[in-house]
This record gives sequence, C-alpha cells and structure tokens, in this order.
Amino acid sequence: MNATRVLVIEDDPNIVDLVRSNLTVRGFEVDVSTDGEDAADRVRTLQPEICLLDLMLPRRDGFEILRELRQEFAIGLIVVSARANEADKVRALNLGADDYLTKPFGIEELLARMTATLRRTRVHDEEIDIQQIDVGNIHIDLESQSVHRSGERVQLTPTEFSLLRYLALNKGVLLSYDALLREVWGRGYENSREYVRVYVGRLRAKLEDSDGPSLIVTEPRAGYRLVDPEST
Amino acid sequence: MLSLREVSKRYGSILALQDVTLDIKPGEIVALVGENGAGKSTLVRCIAGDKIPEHGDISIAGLPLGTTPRGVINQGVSVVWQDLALCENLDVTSNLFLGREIAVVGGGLRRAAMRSEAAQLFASLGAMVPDLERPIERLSGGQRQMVAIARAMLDVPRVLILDEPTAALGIAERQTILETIEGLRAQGVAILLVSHQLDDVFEVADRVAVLRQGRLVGNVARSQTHPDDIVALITGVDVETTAGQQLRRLHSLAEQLTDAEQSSVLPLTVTSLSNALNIGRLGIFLVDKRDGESTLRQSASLNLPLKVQHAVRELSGDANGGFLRDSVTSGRLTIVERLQDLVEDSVASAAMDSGLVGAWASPIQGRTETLALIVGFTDVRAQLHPDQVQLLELFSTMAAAAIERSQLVEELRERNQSLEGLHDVLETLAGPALLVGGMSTALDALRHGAGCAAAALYTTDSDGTFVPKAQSIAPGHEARHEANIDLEMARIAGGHQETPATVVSQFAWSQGDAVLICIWDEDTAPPAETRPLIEGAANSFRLALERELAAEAQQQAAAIHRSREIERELTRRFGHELRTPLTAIQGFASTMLQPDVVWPDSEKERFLEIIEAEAGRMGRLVARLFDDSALGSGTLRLDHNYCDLVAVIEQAVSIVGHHDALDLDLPSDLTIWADKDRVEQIVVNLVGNAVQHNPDGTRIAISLARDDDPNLLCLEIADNGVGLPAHLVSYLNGHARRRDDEHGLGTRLVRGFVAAHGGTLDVTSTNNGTRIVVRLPIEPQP
Repeated sequence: MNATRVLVIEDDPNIVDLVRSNLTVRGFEVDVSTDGEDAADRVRTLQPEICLLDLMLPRRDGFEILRELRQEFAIGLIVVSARANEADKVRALNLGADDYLTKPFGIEELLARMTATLRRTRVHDEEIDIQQIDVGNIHIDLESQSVHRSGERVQLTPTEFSLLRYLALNKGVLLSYDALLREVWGRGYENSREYVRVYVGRLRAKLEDSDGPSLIVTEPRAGYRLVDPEST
Repeated sequence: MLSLREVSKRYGSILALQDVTLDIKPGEIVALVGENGAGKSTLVRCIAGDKIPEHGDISIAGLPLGTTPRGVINQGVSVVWQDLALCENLDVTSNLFLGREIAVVGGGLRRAAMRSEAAQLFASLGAMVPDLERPIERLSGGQRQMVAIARAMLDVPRVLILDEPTAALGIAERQTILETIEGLRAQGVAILLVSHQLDDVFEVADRVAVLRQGRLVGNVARSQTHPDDIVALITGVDVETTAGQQLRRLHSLAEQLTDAEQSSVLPLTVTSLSNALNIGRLGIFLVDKRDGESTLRQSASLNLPLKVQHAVRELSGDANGGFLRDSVTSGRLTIVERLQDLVEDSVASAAMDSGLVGAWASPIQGRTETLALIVGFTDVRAQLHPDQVQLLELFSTMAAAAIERSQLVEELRERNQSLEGLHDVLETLAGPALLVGGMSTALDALRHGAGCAAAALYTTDSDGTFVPKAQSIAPGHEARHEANIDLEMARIAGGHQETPATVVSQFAWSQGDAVLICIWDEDTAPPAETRPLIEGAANSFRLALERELAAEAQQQAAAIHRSREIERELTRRFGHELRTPLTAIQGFASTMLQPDVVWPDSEKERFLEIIEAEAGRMGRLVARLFDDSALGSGTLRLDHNYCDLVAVIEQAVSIVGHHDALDLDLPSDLTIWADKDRVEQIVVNLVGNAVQHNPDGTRIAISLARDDDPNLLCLEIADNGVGLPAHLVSYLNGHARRRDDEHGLGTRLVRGFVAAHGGTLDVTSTNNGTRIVVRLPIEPQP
C-alpha cells in the first residue's frame, strides 16, 4: 500500500514541524498549507486521505474551510484547535469534522485519533460477508461504500458511513452509546457521547424524510436502533 | 374619519410600510409611536399626499383621499411638520397667511382683517402669542409650534397630523401645546400625534398605535396599557402577560417605597395601582393617630372629586360609622356596592353628589393597626374581581412596611427633639444606605442619646447562642461594663428579668433573635422615657440587620459574578494565547518519549531547542498577561532605569523579524529613563501589528528623534498599508467608547505602557497607511 497522505493546515511553524516530524518518521506523506486559502485545491490535487485543520488561521476562518472541504470531499477531517469549548467542538462536528483534537495534545493522542479516523475511512478493507443492505428506501453497498436513497446517491462522510454501516449490520438491535462509540469511533472515545448525537443527527438529515417515519429510532437514555420504516 | 386600509409603501428593496390599517375618529387623539425608521414619517407622508402608497387605501369620511398635498388639505387633512416650515423673518400674521393672501385689495385693510382673524384663531386655540407683529425668529419654540398649529387650523381641518410637536420644548411650553391639542380634540378634530415622547402620549392620547419595521404591531387604548408595554412593542421585546408584569411593577414600586421619600412615591403608587387595577378613581389616605383619636389624611389621589377629598378630610374622630372608618376599625376590605345604601355617611354623600355610584376601601395593615386606606370610587356598582383583590392585598403588605418605617422615624423624632443626632443615625440605619461605621456608630449615638454607660447589640448564631454584634462603652470603664454586659446577657439567656440599671429590648428578625441592651452605672437608674426610645431604636436595628443581610447577599452575588467573569476572561485568554506554545512543548516532549521511534541526536537537540524557545515564548506571554491585569487593576510597577533606546528598538525589531519590510532611521544613541522591557514591548507590538495586519510589500518606517519639545523624544512608526479600524485609532488616541477588554492584549499593553511612562500616543490612519507617534519623556518625571 502507498504511504498515507496527510494535509496539515496550520500556521504555527513549530506545530507544523511537530506534526511533520512525527508523521514523516511513521511513514506518512505530509503536505502543509499555512493559511488554508488553497485548501480545496490542495485536496483536489494531492488527494490526501486525511486532513488536520487548525481553526484559527491568519486569513481564513477555519470553520469556513471545514465547510468547504466537507462539501466536496469524503476524506477524514480532524480539527486540531486551541479553541477548547464544547460549542466549537459541536459546531465543528456538525460541519462534518470526523474528530476534534484540542491543543495542547500529546503525539500519542494525535496518532490514536488519526488511526481511528483512518479506520473509519477504510471500512471496506475489512472482511464482510454481506455486501448489500436495504432498509426502507435506503440502499447501502458495503463494498463500494455507497449509499442510495430512493435510487439517488447520498454523499456520506467516512464517519457517517461507518456509523450507518454498523447500525445497518445490526438492524433492529438496540445499540448503546458505548457500543456505538467503541465500534464506530474506537478506543479513547468512551466519554464522547456528543459525537454519537451529532452524527445520528447528520445521518437523519441525509436519509430520513422530514415528515416520514424514523429510520434511526432514539431509545431515550439507552441508544439508537435502525428500523425498517416500512415494517413498522 | 381618517381610515387607512392595508397601506404598503416600498423604497427600492426596503418595505417601509406593510399593510398598515388604522382608523382615527373625530375627537380622538391617536398617538403614532415607533423607533426611528419604523415607518412613522412614511405613513404621515402617505397620508399627506407627499408619497403614494404601493397599495392600500386611505380615505376620509368614506371618500378616497387625494394624492397631491393640496388636494389632501382641501379634503380636510392638515399636517404640522416637525420643521414647522415657518419664515424666520416674517411676523406671526404673515406666516399664518403665507400663500393665502387672498384677493383683498388695499394692503392696510387686508392686513387688519388678517390680524383680527389671527387673534381670533389664537384665542380659539387658548394660546397666548405675545405679538402678532413679532418676527418668527424672535419667538420661542413653543410659540413657533403654536403658530404652525394655528396655520394648519386656518384650513379648518377635520384631521390634524402633528409631527413631534413637543420634541424641542421645555416643560411649561410642552404643557401649553398639549392643552391646545386637547382643546382641538374637544372641538371634534381627529388628531394623529406622531411622537417619541411617551409622556406626551400617555398624557393626551386616547389610543396608541405602534409601528415597528413598517408594521403596525400595536393599536391599544391608552387606558388599557402601560408605558412599559408600549416600549416593549416599540422595541419588539416580547411582551409578557399583564398579570405577571403588574406584579413585578408593584414589587419594584414597593422597593421604591422603602427607598425613597414617602411623599414623592405615593402619587406614583396611586397611578400605577390605578393602571394595575384598571380603576380610574383612587386615593391613599393615611391614618393619623393623635391622643387616641384617628384622623384620615389624604396622601395621594387620582381623579377624586374635590368634594370627596374635602369630606374625607372633615371626617373627625367622633363621627360614628362611615364606611371608611369601618374599614379602618375592622382592618378588612369593605366594598360598598351602592353608596346610596349608606346612611349618614358624609363621604358617601359627597361621592354621590359627584355622580359616583360605588366605592371600596382596602386597609393597609401595620403590625398592630391600620396604617392607611386605599380607597377606590366607581361610576357603576362597585365590584372587585378576585385578581384585583389579590393585587390590592399584595400591594398593601408592601406599602405597610414603607409607611411603618416612616412612622417609626416620625415617632422617634417627636419623642425626643433633643435626640436629633440619634434620630439621624437611626434613620440612616433603617434607611436605604448602609451606615458608614455601621451598627457601632448607631450604638454610640444611642448611648449618648439615652445617657447610658454601655450599649450592645447581640444576635443569635446558628445554635441559638447570643453572640455580640456590636457594642459601645463609655471610655474609662470598658472592662467593668463589658463584664456587666456579659452578666446581663447570661441572665437573659437564663430567662431572668433585667436588672434595675438596665434596659433590654429583645426582638426577632429573619435570622433569629436579637437583644439590644443598655446599661447605666450602678447608681443611676434609667430615666423613664428611655424605654420607648430604646424599643424604637431596637426596631431600627432590626431593619438595619435585615438590610445588612440583604447587602451581604448582594455583595456575595456580585463578588461571585465578578470572579466568574475574571475566571472566564482568564480561561479565554489562556485558552487562545497559551495553548499554541504549550502544544509545541507537550508535543515535542511526547515525541521524544514515544517508544516506537528512535530519534537521532541532532533531531532530539532540535526538539529541545524548540521546547526551550516555546517555553520562553510562554514565559513572555504570561508576563504580558500579568502586566495586563496589573494595568487593569492599576498596580503596574515600572522598572525604571536609564537605557539606550536605540538598542531597545533594535532588539525589538529583531524580535519582530521581517527586516526586509522595515526602514529604520535611528540616531547613534539616545538614552532615556524608562522601563526597557516595557518600551521594547511597545515597539514589538506596534511594529508587529504593522507587519501582520498589512499586505505583503507594505513598507514600515521606524524613526526616532528628539521632539520639538526638548524634554520628549519622538518615535514614529509609519506604514503605507491598509490603515487601522477606526475604533482602534480612537482607543489608542485615548478617547474610546469601548471597554478596555474589548481590545486585544497587545493594543491594551501599548496604551497602558505609554501612559504608565507619562507619554502620549498620536495615531492617524487612512486607507493609505497609518502613522503612530509615541512621545516619551526623556528624564525622570517629578
């Protein structure tokens, strides 16, 4: 397999150095943009698998970059920011970030989060018996990692797809927050229930009809289950 | 009369009026209120034929209104514009008939006719204009307004629109104009009063129409609304239901009652209560007790006929019966459905003579007796809704406390004139402000006033044990009297009687029990009149204790609030400014600790260098944050020394970097008395800003020289960049409206450091560049 390509959007030279040194030595291919102005172009040409994005850049609002990248690309997006409050975190997740890492951080944590996000972007590498799942008007192709709703292609981010895949493979089963966090996000995310809430919300927005029956049912205080709307 | 149906008007893309529907009847004043830009003037101009509405109909007496100004006037709609449109140099008469010099031949005659018509007109308006021959420029604002109204009335309009008629007037003239407007209403004119002055609106208008963003958001009868509600409508703040609002209003009123002088507040109370209860005729009568006889004294009233007021005043102590007296005696709400059912009741007869039908009296109860009556009269059979009764009860409780307090003060004053000093202290103690020196001062005054040797105040702690709160002991015998007080307190705690040389007043307050104790020398018996004095004083102390408690709670809340704010502020700043260097430090440290990679020594060394540099950066940042708080709290201390300013600037410039963009013009040396680190910081921040906030290629010139004033040096930093935001320029120049903490740390430090050095900043900025001149004193300041 080729080296994993990472785009780092970060303006502080020492942090760039930190990330570059650590990733390069571990076999990643690292590209850097210090202002994010050309973020979309860089992703288009370099086609990185994952992007680390700082929110506070001198010339552009990081949220704006996040929105722009997520509109076009299904790559792994991790926000790395000094903004430590919950509101910023939820906002970033809502805009489609796969993860949110608060500065300061240790290298271990950065690597762990990148691994977890990459795992989600590469679900098709795993061995699965089932190739296709249909739930109501939703058709999920696990192999090609594509989702269609009433025949129309729906764009999902890696995390969204990973969550849907797990829900669909366990159709009808109540999945607890803990189970979802463990299976979809991986170790180290046990206390991040907001990730589940945000991503279930994003899936619902993309897959459910606003006035139709629920595809993903909330079991209060317990978790979520995927149900076939036509069978209820 | 005037009728608007779904009138809309658009200016380009802006919808100035949207579906406004409004009616004004003959003999009615409708006030039109709203913020600037809400559409008031557009509406008036549409009516006046000055603007044509997009759609909707405007009609007068059922006929569509014309679309030209003259046509509209001919149909009986006149407008008095805010600018009045009077000719300054012409006299009153000429202004009135300006543009109507009708075909009367022979100047003299015509003039005389005009003058007499003018005089008649002013008389009919009830207005005094000093001299019809006087030029407008010599008239007062109110007189000009009157002339403008008179000119409009020459057209005998059926609808008169007044645009801010009292905006520029003093109190007396404003009153005159409002009376004139009311006079016009009485003549049957339909009046639209456009006004910002809610006072005016509530004084004269029958209805209030509220415009917000071009929409009519309210059209309510004046009597059924309150200025607060109108303000809510104007500003678009959510209007609450009236019940809750009235409760709050009464609460705040009660607070005012306890805080302000009674006489000034009771009239306000009556007005508000009248609004809250929706009862038009109200009075508050205080019960005066003298020689065992009680009389009623009117304190404030609203719309009570004089006859009734007299009758109440005439009520003497021995008059038997009477519904007011019954209510005083029984302490219960008395409702007289029909006054005619009462016999030999002078107040009732007076009220019936004035055409009133029913009445009710609600007592305000003190701890032991009725303090006052709230009395309402009705034009129909009297009835009180349960809600109204509840409001009355609530208000009565709150008013009682206020009246009681003032009576207490009054009684104390009467009891002993020679104790003025004590009285003042006690009054202050019980009053709204916390007494400086607190209870001890009050006890000193009490000790002097009562002539005792020692006075002390004890309160119970959480276990119910009495602990001293404050005391005052005559000098010279402290130890003995302290022992006496202890003994006496032990007796009281044991349930014993007080000793002969002691007067003790025990009272309860919200946090437990309290004792006020006064001790005389063993051989002096307390004079007989001191007991009531001390009991009165105890009452003041009770109020003072409660007040102190409230103040403490308030201070605590404020302190908590403030400390939370500081915490938030620190978190925010630390968050943003410290996390970046911390990331590099933690990141590189953890990098070296990772077991999976073996770094070459050269790399390790580089990491350590970065860690060291970032730690230094963090150290400087922390120092700057400390400086910033020190500036904020006024505790910054400069570390003054003679220093080579040229070297300082060169150092600062090397910190900023970007040497290619800088043009330096520095003398060979210039020594000043200053704190070199802080001066360096000034230069780093100013030059750093110029570099960071301007596009690449911007030139930054830094020059240093002595100023024209030989005691000052002049450091100039000029760039050809994009300029600074106006608020920053004004902040740096020292006259900013924004609070300090709304500016960045660097900017605050520059301003603070320059000021701390006794220097000045002079900033000019256009979009072609910025020039900042820092002037600093060269020698130590005296």
